[in-house]
Amino acid sequence: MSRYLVNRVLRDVYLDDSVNAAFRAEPTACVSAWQDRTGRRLTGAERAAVVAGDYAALYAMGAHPYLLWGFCESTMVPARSRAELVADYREALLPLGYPDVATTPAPAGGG
Amino acid sequence: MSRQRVAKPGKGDDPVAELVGVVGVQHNPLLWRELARPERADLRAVRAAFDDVAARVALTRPDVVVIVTTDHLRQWFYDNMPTFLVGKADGYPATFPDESRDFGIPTAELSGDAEVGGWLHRDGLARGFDLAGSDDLRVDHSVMIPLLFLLPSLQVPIVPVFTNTMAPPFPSATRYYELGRVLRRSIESCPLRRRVLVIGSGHTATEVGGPRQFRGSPGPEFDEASFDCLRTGEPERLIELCSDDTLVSAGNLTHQFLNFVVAFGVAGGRPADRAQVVPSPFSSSPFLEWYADATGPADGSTTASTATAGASA
Repeated sequence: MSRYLVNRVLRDVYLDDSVNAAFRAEPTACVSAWQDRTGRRLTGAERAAVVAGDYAALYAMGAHPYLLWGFCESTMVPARSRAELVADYREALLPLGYPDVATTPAPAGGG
Repeated sequence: MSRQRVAKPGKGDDPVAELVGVVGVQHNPLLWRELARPERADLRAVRAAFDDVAARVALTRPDVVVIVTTDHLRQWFYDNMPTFLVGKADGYPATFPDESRDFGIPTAELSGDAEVGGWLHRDGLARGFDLAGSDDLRVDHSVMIPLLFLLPSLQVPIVPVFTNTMAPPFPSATRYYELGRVLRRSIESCPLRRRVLVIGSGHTATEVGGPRQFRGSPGPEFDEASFDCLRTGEPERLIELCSDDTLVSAGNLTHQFLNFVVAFGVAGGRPADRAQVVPSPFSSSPFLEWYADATGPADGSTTASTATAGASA
């Protein structure tokens, strides 16, 4: 698992208009092309969550919430209304609390 | 020390830069559209507060704005994340395409004060503060929103001072305060003839991308306690309040408050001349002001910001 790579793909889709358009049109092909372009590989679970826009799964993995929201809003609205997305996003994340988002988590038992 | 032998372009042997004011405001990018013609009473109050601060800032006649600010994983990312960085360029492109796309924020070519940026970098290092520097960077909404509301001509050159408040792990709050103290000493010893305004661009309790986003302040108790420290001039108590756990409990991006801790350090930890928190639908809007003359710019308009005092924490 790599929070760094998850954050990197979320950031590229969010910030880069051409990647954003490609993701909206065909998310699976977009993520495959992203892997080819960067030479980096997401795990199967990471790839599936990104392609599906599964924000609960990505949040639980420790994706940076700012990038995650930007990714969701920029790829899901206006196909979904912003208000509906905000409400469902909140419902999905509420049970998950605040996962650690450091890309290099502190070792267990560390100070 | 070598910096004391730098040729003085100004008067005599004395440093000639002058710290004319320190202000702190927020930078929510949604405000750019929301405050254009606000209809809700709370947003009208936010707009009025920005306008009041802008009027007082104009009276300080700054030659350069040192803006303590936070990039949002756009310019600086996990591949190369500076903790504290000074911009030393003579110009800064703004903003990023996604911010024009999503928030309607205008693009701009901001002029930079490379001499002051270079001085702050070199002098900070000489004072033992290990600042990174950059000659080539793009600034995001955390620079543009304060400038658009406070100095909308966008004509005053800037020096951006970036702090990492987005990508943990973070330094302790003490270091942000110390950064402010060093910036103040560097400005006061600067041999360049400048009137320097410092803007802290941050947030009160705030959350984006978590379950509490867009629902007003996620940490009203933190807002109240932190602003009490700023009003009474208690840096030690404020630093103690700003532990990692307390900041995250107040909202997942509340570390951006630390830019106000930097501003407090620049102001020498003295009680803010004005410190108010105006509630809004996103997170509450902070307005902090310290002026070189504690009575404020000498125009007699010292009462405007109290119009929303009932909204203060």
